[in-house]
Amino acid sequence: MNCALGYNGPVHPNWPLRWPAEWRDTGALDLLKGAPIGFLLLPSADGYQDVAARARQLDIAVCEIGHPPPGVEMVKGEWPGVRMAPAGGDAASGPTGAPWVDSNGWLVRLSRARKPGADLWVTADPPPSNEVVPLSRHLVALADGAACGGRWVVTLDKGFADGLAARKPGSVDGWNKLMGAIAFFRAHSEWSAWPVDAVLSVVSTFSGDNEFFSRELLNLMARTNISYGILETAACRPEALGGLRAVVYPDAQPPPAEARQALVDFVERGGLLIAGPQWSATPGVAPGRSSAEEPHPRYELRRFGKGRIALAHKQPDDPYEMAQDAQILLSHRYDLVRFFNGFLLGAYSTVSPDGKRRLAHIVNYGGGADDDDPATARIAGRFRSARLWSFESANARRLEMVEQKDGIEVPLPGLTVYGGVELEAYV
Amino acid sequence: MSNTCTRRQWLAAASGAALARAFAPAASAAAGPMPRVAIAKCPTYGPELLPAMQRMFDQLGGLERLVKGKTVAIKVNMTGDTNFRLGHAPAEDTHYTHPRVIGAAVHLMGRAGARRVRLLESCWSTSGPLEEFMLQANWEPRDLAGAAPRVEFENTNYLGRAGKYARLQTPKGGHIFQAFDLNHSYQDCDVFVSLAKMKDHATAGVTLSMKNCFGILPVTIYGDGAGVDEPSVEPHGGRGIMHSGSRQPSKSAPPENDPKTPREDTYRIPRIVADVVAARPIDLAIVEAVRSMAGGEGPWVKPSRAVRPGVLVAGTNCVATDAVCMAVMGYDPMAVRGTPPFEKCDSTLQLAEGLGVGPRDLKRIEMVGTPVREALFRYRLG
Repeated sequence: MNCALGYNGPVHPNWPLRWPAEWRDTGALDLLKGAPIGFLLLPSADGYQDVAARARQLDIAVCEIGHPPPGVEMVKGEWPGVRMAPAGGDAASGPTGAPWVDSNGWLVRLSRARKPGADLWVTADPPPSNEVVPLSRHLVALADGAACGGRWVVTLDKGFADGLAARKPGSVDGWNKLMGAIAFFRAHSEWSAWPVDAVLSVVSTFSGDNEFFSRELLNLMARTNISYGILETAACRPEALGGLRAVVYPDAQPPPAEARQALVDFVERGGLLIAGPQWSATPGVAPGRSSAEEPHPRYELRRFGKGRIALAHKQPDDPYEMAQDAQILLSHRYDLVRFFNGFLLGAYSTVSPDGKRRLAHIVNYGGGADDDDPATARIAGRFRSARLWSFESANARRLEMVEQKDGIEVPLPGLTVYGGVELEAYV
Repeated sequence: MSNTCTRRQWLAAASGAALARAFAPAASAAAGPMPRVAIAKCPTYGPELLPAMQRMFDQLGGLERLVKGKTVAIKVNMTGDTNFRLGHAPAEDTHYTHPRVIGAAVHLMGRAGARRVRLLESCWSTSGPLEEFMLQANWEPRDLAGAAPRVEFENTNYLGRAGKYARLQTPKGGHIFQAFDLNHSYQDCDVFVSLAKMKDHATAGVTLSMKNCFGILPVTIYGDGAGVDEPSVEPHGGRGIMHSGSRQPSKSAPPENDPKTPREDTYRIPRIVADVVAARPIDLAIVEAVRSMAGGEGPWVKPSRAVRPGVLVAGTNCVATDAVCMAVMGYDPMAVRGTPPFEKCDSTLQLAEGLGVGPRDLKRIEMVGTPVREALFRYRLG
């Protein structure tokens, strides 16, 4: 490993911390006693030898930032949360006019799909020294990555680091809450192995000419709350498409023969394929009769076998538009999670390996509960019970369910940063 | 919609006294100078809803007279995005026309012989189908599609299925606009129904059958994201430019009569609404407030509260119908700017009356069914 400090042991199961550059004093390590931080990413090899030596004595692994240990896939992300306008004050708008939300969830999931078994760490540049990051945003960053099975590299803003070094009560309180959130996800580490409860998959190479569009598609599809899976073209085989209702193939070039056949078979069996215009020339997909459905401004809908193919009139170039189109072409009927109020909530739906439980990870990217407009979640399916896990309590709280046709509604009052809605299915 | 209902169930629900009664012949007063407005108490969206609506339509002279063999377009009210709620209450219990009222109206239209019923709404910021918008609101569009033999849906916030927009002229030239370019569905119908929710409104004082029709303006022409020269292809955002007058509609559509008029929403919106209902006359106005909200037109207006007036109002003249609604809400339909509920705005009713659309004076309206005093539900507290 290219690490001047030397990697001193196996990957610790605990969380990584980007050691603040201004912390030269080993006394700051006292903060880590009893904390679920197990790995320090030091700014450089020089100047931190004492910190590294002391950390080793405390059974804390160390490494240089940029040189993660074996078995760790470190990806560069963003600070999750609501992006504020440059002038400050109001939130910047996204493609819908809704506040722009940054999330690393899609990146964590893509990275895990491409490197199964790797420990996934997600990092972002430390904020500028004059920027104060609210505690809620630190918590959002942590929950955003952890919900999808990754680990946010805890990165302190200068004010937070200085306050901690001086043991200011407010900073220490914030630190304790941050460590509590990490401990929460540690206590539920099994959740990271729960697969996504997907109704649709995005199939792409996610690289080369396809990289930008396909990744933005994943990012923006998450904002629509479509419950999607991620499948590399090379892994696109019939068994990987089981249980899905739709596949989005955003790449401009047709897939290789094996993947193409898998997708054609998927459609024949009743699935929906959403793809660019190149599919019209695909052998085996002869133009069918036009469906009786309402004409779509950007897609031609064809029936094939028991399924449908939605062929874009031209190669899609707007990932948000394609994400929205995919949701409507498939139909909101198949939304797994839908929010009312909760405009800054995002969901990631998973299912337990035995299929008996479902878990909707819900992150409030606004970082604060809106008591005036309390959120409600509508979750598809019929369930015996629902309960809510949160940072604020070691035990889950039972949620009142309002039964609906093909779904339930649960109130989500006071959801500040994270809520895990665990649902017990009727078996 | 928590309960689903098939066409068969609609029929079963309608098989009581209402069904046994033949459609009443047109009452002479309905055709006379006094427009008739029916009021009905209806405490829930349960089994009493359909008979109550049937009874109102009978009191108005019978639906058959109005819709038999016709294409009926029904503009419902699904204002704003589907994810807004007042607390945890479903939108239909506060600010959306309730789907059971829509279903009942569709069913009765079908039973009265309507050749086709087309449900219309300009869905917030999307060119997606209206059915998808309804699904997002937790409604089941199949229930509505099954309520009559031929039911269609159209999102009218953009060009839609037609090749071009329909231009509808405002009689007498209009207060603000002499004509509007609209989705074809507002022209391609024989009967136009405004199926509204009875609510207060932050800008227009009240929103009833007439204000509901502000939503027929496609944002591709009249919205913040409208094209400058030609309509935009996709609808984005709201109709802020209609409120503020900060810019003109797309140049392809008729501009304002006088761009020097006040650029205040409390001046503009009542006038534009009056122009709209003059350009696209409402043949049947239905306003429901079995459940509703007071204080504003949507949860984004604060403070506001959920209410249960338990009342339905219907009439063949929209100004008269809205006037009766105002009386039911505890307001004076003759109110002018500066008096409740028009403290800050002009009265849409007064302006529409000025265009000859109909009367707002209760003395010039024949009210049938439940008396106003029994249906009264004061939207303002204290």
